[in-house]
Amino acid sequence: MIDGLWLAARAGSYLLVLQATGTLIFLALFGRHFGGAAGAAGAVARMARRCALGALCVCTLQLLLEPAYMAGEAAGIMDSGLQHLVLHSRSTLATALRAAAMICVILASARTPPRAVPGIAAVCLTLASFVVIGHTVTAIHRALLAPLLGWHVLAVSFWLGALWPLHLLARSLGPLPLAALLERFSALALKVVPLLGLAGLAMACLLLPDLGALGTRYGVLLCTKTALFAGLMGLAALNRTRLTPALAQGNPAAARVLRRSLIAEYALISAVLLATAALTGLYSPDGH
Amino acid sequence: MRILRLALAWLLLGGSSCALAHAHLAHSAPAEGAHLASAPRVLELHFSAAAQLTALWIQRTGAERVKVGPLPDKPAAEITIPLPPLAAGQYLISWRVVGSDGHVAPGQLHFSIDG
Repeated sequence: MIDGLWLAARAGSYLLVLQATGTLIFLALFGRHFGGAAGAAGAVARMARRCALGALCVCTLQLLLEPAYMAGEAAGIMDSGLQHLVLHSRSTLATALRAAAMICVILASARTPPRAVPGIAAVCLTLASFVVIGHTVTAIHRALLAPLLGWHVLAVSFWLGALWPLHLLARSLGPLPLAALLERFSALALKVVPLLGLAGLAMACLLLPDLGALGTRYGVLLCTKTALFAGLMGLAALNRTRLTPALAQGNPAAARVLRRSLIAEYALISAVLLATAALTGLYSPDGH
Repeated sequence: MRILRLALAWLLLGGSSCALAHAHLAHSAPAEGAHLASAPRVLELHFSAAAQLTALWIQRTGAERVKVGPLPDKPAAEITIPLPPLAAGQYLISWRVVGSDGHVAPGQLHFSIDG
């Protein structure tokens, strides 16, 4: 029960932190291309702030559950020794960095276009919060793994953070400005997403001791994550090759299909993040 | 700028406040799957690196699991814990340790005591 709650909080914090930061990135990069949709930029900024507030709550919950997870029972929450251990752990450092990042998201998205300084700080703090904890910390190739992980997290955030704003804009924008926005987003995503996959592959090569490790629980989860990522790439390709041209031809029905496709992408990324939370929290690349 | 460089170096090198390394069970006494003629008085856990033991239980097949303690208050690679008096039967020992990567790692081992 406690383990399940802790894992759900962990996955939820990944999702909300990356979404809040990613929505801010989307707003900063594409906010001026929202066309004539009245208040669209403001709605996307509100979305970023709500995600950031949600992330603050879930990160706090995860930190509260940490001593219980260490103890393997709910009573661990009240154990002062475990609380002390958690307080001086990397989990607290990562949570503090995430909380600071979310405050920066709220400050940056308080106006549109977003403020640059808190916006850049939000991105840097989000990346740092993932780099200071996890299997890459103690790995031999730390100097290589840290930037790879940073890039991986940034790319996931960019992708995830675009989905709900695009879903929102698919309602308020007409087919032609929506197609133009998707074209701009896809042009950048085409560069970012393949590198996301390559960074993940490079990290797997550096972390896994041998091919046999793919048979361990860690390896199976890693393969599951890769299969989900392939599904995501398929949906993204569908959006680019079918839906964007249909929108560009003024087909309003394509916007409805696009919204469904974006929901499916969001569900798949959520599944990837749940697999990642289990992968990085419960198992080790060396199979232990 | 200097502060930024120091912060970056700290991030890349993984900080300095945590001296533990990622830990997994290297070997133990009783060993995994051991058949013992008499009940062991202590449990010895040897980890690949220093680890902080945060929970330890023993469970006889068909019975409730029981917490074992007190646990060491400092991280160590070799941990010895006194066990309660054990009757003949099959046992499962399970634990949780925290390594320097900040993760809690669960583990378990089985042994039996002949009647």
